[in-house]
Amino acid sequence: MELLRTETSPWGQEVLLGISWDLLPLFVGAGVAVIVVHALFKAIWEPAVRRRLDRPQRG
Amino acid sequence: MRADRIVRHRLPDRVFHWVMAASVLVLLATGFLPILGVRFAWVTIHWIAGLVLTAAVLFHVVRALGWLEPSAMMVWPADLRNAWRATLRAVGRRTAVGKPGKYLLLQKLYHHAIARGLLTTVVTGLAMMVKVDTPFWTRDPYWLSDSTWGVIYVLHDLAALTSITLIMVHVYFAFRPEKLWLTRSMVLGWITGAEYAEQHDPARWRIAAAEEPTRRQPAASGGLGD
Repeated sequence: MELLRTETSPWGQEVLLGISWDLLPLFVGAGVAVIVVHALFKAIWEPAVRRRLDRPQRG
Repeated sequence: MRADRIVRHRLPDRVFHWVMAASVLVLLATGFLPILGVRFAWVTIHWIAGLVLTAAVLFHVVRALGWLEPSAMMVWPADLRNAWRATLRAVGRRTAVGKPGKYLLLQKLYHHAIARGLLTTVVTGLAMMVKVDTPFWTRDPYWLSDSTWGVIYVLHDLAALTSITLIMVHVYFAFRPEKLWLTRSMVLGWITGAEYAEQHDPARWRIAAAEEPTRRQPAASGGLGD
Protein backbone atom coordinates (compact mmCIF):
# COMPACT_ATOMS: atom_id res chain seq x y z
CA MET A 1 0.00 0.00 0.00
CA GLU A 2 1.41 3.37 -1.04
CA LEU A 3 1.27 6.22 1.48
CA LEU A 4 1.92 9.06 -0.95
CA ARG A 5 1.12 9.88 -4.57
CA THR A 6 4.06 11.05 -6.66
CA GLU A 7 4.85 11.65 -10.30
CA THR A 8 7.95 12.52 -12.32
CA SER A 9 8.15 16.10 -13.57
CA PRO A 10 9.26 16.95 -17.14
CA TRP A 11 12.67 17.71 -15.61
CA GLY A 12 12.97 14.18 -14.18
CA GLN A 13 12.31 15.18 -10.55
CA GLU A 14 9.98 13.19 -8.31
CA VAL A 15 7.14 15.49 -7.32
CA LEU A 16 4.78 14.94 -4.40
CA LEU A 17 1.09 15.05 -5.38
CA GLY A 18 -0.60 14.15 -2.10
CA ILE A 19 -1.70 11.33 0.13
CA SER A 20 -2.43 7.99 -1.52
CA TRP A 21 -6.17 7.41 -1.82
CA ASP A 22 -5.52 3.77 -0.87
CA LEU A 23 -5.64 5.18 2.67
CA LEU A 24 -9.29 6.28 2.35
CA PRO A 25 -10.69 2.87 3.43
CA LEU A 26 -8.33 3.00 6.44
CA PHE A 27 -9.81 6.25 7.74
CA VAL A 28 -13.38 5.13 7.06
CA GLY A 29 -12.57 1.81 8.74
CA ALA A 30 -11.19 3.63 11.78
CA GLY A 31 -14.49 5.48 12.11
CA VAL A 32 -16.48 2.27 11.77
CA ALA A 33 -14.23 0.57 14.35
CA VAL A 34 -14.77 3.31 16.93
CA ILE A 35 -18.53 3.18 16.35
CA VAL A 36 -18.77 -0.61 16.58
CA VAL A 37 -16.56 -0.86 19.68
CA HIS A 38 -18.51 1.88 21.46
CA ALA A 39 -21.89 0.43 20.50
CA LEU A 40 -20.85 -2.98 21.81
CA PHE A 41 -19.50 -1.41 24.99
CA LYS A 42 -22.79 0.38 25.63
CA ALA A 43 -24.97 -2.60 24.71
CA ILE A 44 -23.10 -5.40 26.46
CA TRP A 45 -20.22 -4.35 28.70
CA GLU A 46 -21.69 -1.33 30.50
CA PRO A 47 -24.99 -3.01 31.55
CA ALA A 48 -23.02 -5.96 32.93
CA VAL A 49 -20.74 -3.67 34.92
CA ARG A 50 -23.71 -1.66 36.16
CA ARG A 51 -25.45 -4.87 37.37
CA ARG A 52 -22.28 -5.87 39.22
CA LEU A 53 -21.91 -2.44 40.82
CA ASP A 54 -25.58 -2.32 41.81
CA ARG A 55 -25.26 -5.61 43.71
CA PRO A 56 -25.00 -4.93 47.44
CA GLN A 57 -21.42 -5.22 48.66
CA ARG A 58 -20.59 -8.18 50.87
CA GLY A 59 -19.29 -7.55 54.38
CA MET B 1 -37.48 30.86 27.28
CA ARG B 2 -39.58 28.65 29.50
CA ALA B 3 -38.63 28.63 33.16
CA ASP B 4 -37.49 24.99 33.15
CA ARG B 5 -35.15 25.51 30.17
CA ILE B 6 -31.56 26.59 30.19
CA VAL B 7 -29.81 28.11 27.19
CA ARG B 8 -26.94 25.90 26.09
CA HIS B 9 -26.23 27.25 22.61
CA ARG B 10 -27.39 30.66 21.43
CA LEU B 11 -28.73 31.21 17.92
CA PRO B 12 -25.50 32.61 16.33
CA ASP B 13 -23.59 29.56 17.60
CA ARG B 14 -26.20 27.12 16.33
CA VAL B 15 -26.27 28.83 12.93
CA PHE B 16 -22.47 28.67 12.86
CA HIS B 17 -22.52 24.94 13.67
CA TRP B 18 -24.98 24.03 10.94
CA VAL B 19 -23.37 26.30 8.31
CA MET B 20 -20.02 24.69 9.15
CA ALA B 21 -21.55 21.21 9.01
CA ALA B 22 -23.18 21.84 5.63
CA SER B 23 -20.02 23.35 4.13
CA VAL B 24 -17.84 20.49 5.43
CA LEU B 25 -20.21 17.87 3.97
CA VAL B 26 -20.18 19.67 0.60
CA LEU B 27 -16.37 19.84 0.77
CA LEU B 28 -16.07 16.13 1.55
CA ALA B 29 -18.54 15.19 -1.20
CA THR B 30 -16.90 17.38 -3.84
CA GLY B 31 -13.44 16.30 -2.67
CA PHE B 32 -13.95 12.55 -2.52
CA LEU B 33 -16.76 11.60 -4.90
CA PRO B 34 -14.58 12.32 -7.98
CA ILE B 35 -11.88 10.12 -6.45
CA LEU B 36 -14.46 7.35 -6.06
CA GLY B 37 -15.38 7.68 -9.73
CA VAL B 38 -18.34 10.06 -9.64
CA ARG B 39 -17.43 12.55 -12.36
CA PHE B 40 -18.73 16.10 -12.19
CA ALA B 41 -17.43 19.68 -12.22
CA TRP B 42 -16.41 19.76 -8.55
CA VAL B 43 -13.67 22.39 -8.34
CA THR B 44 -15.79 25.55 -8.26
CA ILE B 45 -18.31 24.13 -5.76
CA HIS B 46 -15.39 22.93 -3.64
CA TRP B 47 -13.60 26.26 -3.31
CA ILE B 48 -16.82 28.21 -2.80
CA ALA B 49 -17.78 25.83 0.03
CA GLY B 50 -14.23 26.25 1.32
CA LEU B 51 -14.68 30.02 1.50
CA VAL B 52 -17.99 29.54 3.33
CA LEU B 53 -16.20 27.29 5.84
CA THR B 54 -13.39 29.84 6.19
CA ALA B 55 -15.89 32.62 6.95
CA ALA B 56 -17.74 30.40 9.44
CA VAL B 57 -14.51 29.45 11.23
CA LEU B 58 -13.39 33.09 11.43
CA PHE B 59 -16.79 34.03 12.85
CA HIS B 60 -16.54 31.29 15.47
CA VAL B 61 -12.99 32.18 16.52
CA VAL B 62 -13.92 35.86 16.99
CA ARG B 63 -17.17 35.01 18.79
CA ALA B 64 -15.55 32.36 20.99
CA LEU B 65 -12.81 34.75 22.09
CA GLY B 66 -15.09 37.76 22.51
CA TRP B 67 -18.50 36.49 23.58
CA LEU B 68 -18.23 32.88 24.73
CA GLU B 69 -16.13 31.26 27.44
CA PRO B 70 -12.93 29.84 25.95
CA SER B 71 -12.17 28.29 29.35
CA ALA B 72 -15.15 25.99 28.85
CA MET B 73 -13.19 24.22 26.10
CA MET B 74 -9.91 23.95 28.02
CA VAL B 75 -8.85 20.65 29.54
CA TRP B 76 -8.58 21.02 33.32
CA PRO B 77 -7.16 18.63 35.93
CA ALA B 78 -10.72 17.91 37.07
CA ASP B 79 -11.52 16.66 33.55
CA LEU B 80 -8.61 14.24 33.62
CA ARG B 81 -9.53 13.13 37.15
CA ASN B 82 -13.16 12.47 36.14
CA ALA B 83 -12.07 10.65 33.00
CA TRP B 84 -9.76 8.38 35.01
CA ARG B 85 -12.49 7.64 37.55
CA ALA B 86 -15.00 6.97 34.76
CA THR B 87 -12.52 4.52 33.23
CA LEU B 88 -12.12 2.76 36.59
CA ARG B 89 -15.91 2.60 36.96
CA ALA B 90 -16.23 1.23 33.43
CA VAL B 91 -14.04 -1.74 34.40
CA GLY B 92 -16.06 -2.40 37.54
CA ARG B 93 -14.32 -0.41 40.29
CA ARG B 94 -16.65 1.30 42.76
CA THR B 95 -15.60 4.90 42.19
CA ALA B 96 -17.50 8.17 42.44
CA VAL B 97 -17.25 10.08 39.17
CA GLY B 98 -17.58 13.86 39.27
CA LYS B 99 -19.77 15.74 36.83
CA PRO B 100 -18.25 17.88 34.09
CA GLY B 101 -18.65 21.57 33.42
CA LYS B 102 -20.38 22.47 30.17
CA TYR B 103 -18.38 19.92 28.13
CA LEU B 104 -17.09 16.42 28.80
CA LEU B 105 -13.38 15.74 28.33
CA LEU B 106 -14.12 13.74 25.17
CA GLN B 107 -16.14 16.65 23.74
CA LYS B 108 -13.23 19.00 24.40
CA LEU B 109 -10.69 16.62 22.87
CA TYR B 110 -12.95 16.14 19.86
CA HIS B 111 -13.27 19.90 19.44
CA HIS B 112 -9.48 20.33 19.56
CA ALA B 113 -8.94 17.53 17.03
CA ILE B 114 -11.57 18.68 14.53
CA ALA B 115 -10.48 22.33 14.94
CA ARG B 116 -6.89 21.46 14.06
CA GLY B 117 -8.05 19.35 11.11
CA LEU B 118 -10.38 21.98 9.69
CA LEU B 119 -7.90 24.82 10.27
CA THR B 120 -5.30 22.80 8.35
CA THR B 121 -7.71 22.28 5.45
CA VAL B 122 -8.67 25.97 5.51
CA VAL B 123 -5.08 27.28 5.51
CA THR B 124 -3.85 24.84 2.85
CA GLY B 125 -7.05 25.29 0.87
CA LEU B 126 -6.64 29.08 0.86
CA ALA B 127 -3.09 28.60 -0.44
CA MET B 128 -4.47 26.42 -3.23
CA MET B 129 -6.89 29.20 -4.20
CA VAL B 130 -3.90 30.85 -5.92
CA LYS B 131 -4.01 27.98 -8.44
CA VAL B 132 -7.68 28.60 -9.31
CA ASP B 133 -9.08 31.21 -11.70
CA THR B 134 -11.61 33.37 -9.86
CA PRO B 135 -13.41 36.63 -10.68
CA PHE B 136 -10.77 38.35 -8.51
CA TRP B 137 -7.47 36.91 -9.82
CA THR B 138 -5.87 34.76 -12.50
CA ARG B 139 -4.31 31.51 -11.34
CA ASP B 140 -0.57 31.35 -10.70
CA PRO B 141 0.58 27.74 -10.24
CA TYR B 142 4.21 28.89 -9.92
CA TRP B 143 3.62 30.94 -6.76
CA LEU B 144 5.25 28.11 -4.78
CA SER B 145 7.72 25.42 -5.80
CA ASP B 146 6.54 21.92 -6.73
CA SER B 147 7.95 20.49 -3.51
CA THR B 148 6.12 23.08 -1.39
CA TRP B 149 2.87 22.44 -3.24
CA GLY B 150 3.40 18.74 -2.53
CA VAL B 151 3.62 19.36 1.20
CA ILE B 152 0.49 21.54 1.06
CA TYR B 153 -1.41 18.81 -0.79
CA VAL B 154 -0.31 16.14 1.71
CA LEU B 155 -1.41 18.27 4.68
CA HIS B 156 -4.74 19.07 3.00
CA ASP B 157 -5.39 15.42 2.12
CA LEU B 158 -4.41 14.14 5.57
CA ALA B 159 -6.61 16.70 7.33
CA ALA B 160 -9.52 15.85 5.03
CA LEU B 161 -9.15 12.10 5.65
CA THR B 162 -8.94 12.64 9.40
CA SER B 163 -12.09 14.77 9.20
CA ILE B 164 -13.96 11.82 7.69
CA THR B 165 -13.20 9.65 10.71
CA LEU B 166 -14.01 12.40 13.19
CA ILE B 167 -17.29 13.33 11.50
CA MET B 168 -18.43 9.71 11.34
CA VAL B 169 -17.85 9.40 15.09
CA HIS B 170 -19.51 12.78 15.76
CA VAL B 171 -22.69 11.89 13.83
CA TYR B 172 -22.84 8.50 15.60
CA PHE B 173 -22.71 10.13 19.02
CA ALA B 174 -25.25 12.76 17.95
CA PHE B 175 -27.78 9.97 17.40
CA ARG B 176 -26.94 7.93 20.53
CA PRO B 177 -30.14 7.75 22.64
CA GLU B 178 -28.35 9.02 25.76
CA LYS B 179 -26.96 12.00 23.82
CA LEU B 180 -30.09 13.13 21.98
CA TRP B 181 -30.64 15.89 24.55
CA LEU B 182 -27.34 17.42 23.39
CA THR B 183 -28.32 17.13 19.73
CA ARG B 184 -31.64 18.79 20.53
CA SER B 185 -29.75 21.65 22.18
CA MET B 186 -27.79 22.26 18.98
CA VAL B 187 -31.11 22.60 17.09
CA LEU B 188 -33.35 24.33 19.63
CA GLY B 189 -30.71 25.89 21.88
CA TRP B 190 -31.83 24.65 25.29
CA ILE B 191 -31.58 21.85 27.80
CA THR B 192 -33.97 21.23 30.66
CA GLY B 193 -33.22 22.06 34.27
CA ALA B 194 -33.29 18.35 35.08
CA GLU B 195 -30.70 17.61 32.37
CA TYR B 196 -28.51 20.44 33.68
CA ALA B 197 -28.71 19.12 37.25
CA GLU B 198 -28.15 15.51 36.21
CA GLN B 199 -25.32 16.00 33.74
CA HIS B 200 -23.34 19.03 34.90
CA ASP B 201 -21.54 20.34 37.95
CA PRO B 202 -23.15 23.77 38.63
CA ALA B 203 -19.87 24.99 40.12
CA ARG B 204 -18.08 24.28 36.82
CA TRP B 205 -20.79 25.49 34.44
CA ARG B 206 -22.41 28.47 36.03
CA ILE B 207 -25.56 29.72 34.43
CA ALA B 208 -26.96 33.22 34.77
CA ALA B 209 -29.26 33.65 37.76
CA ALA B 210 -32.10 34.55 35.39
CA GLU B 211 -31.70 31.19 33.67
CA GLU B 212 -31.69 29.06 36.83
CA PRO B 213 -34.47 26.49 36.53
CA THR B 214 -37.54 27.21 38.58
CA ARG B 215 -40.76 25.33 39.04
CA ARG B 216 -42.37 24.61 35.68
CA GLN B 217 -44.56 27.55 34.58
CA PRO B 218 -47.30 27.50 31.94
CA ALA B 219 -45.51 27.93 28.60
CA ALA B 220 -45.47 31.55 27.45
CA SER B 221 -43.76 30.81 24.15
CA GLY B 222 -41.96 27.98 22.44
CA GLY B 223 -39.76 27.98 19.37
CA LEU B 224 -36.09 28.22 18.75
CA GLY B 225 -34.94 30.24 21.72
CA ASP B 226 -33.13 33.55 21.19
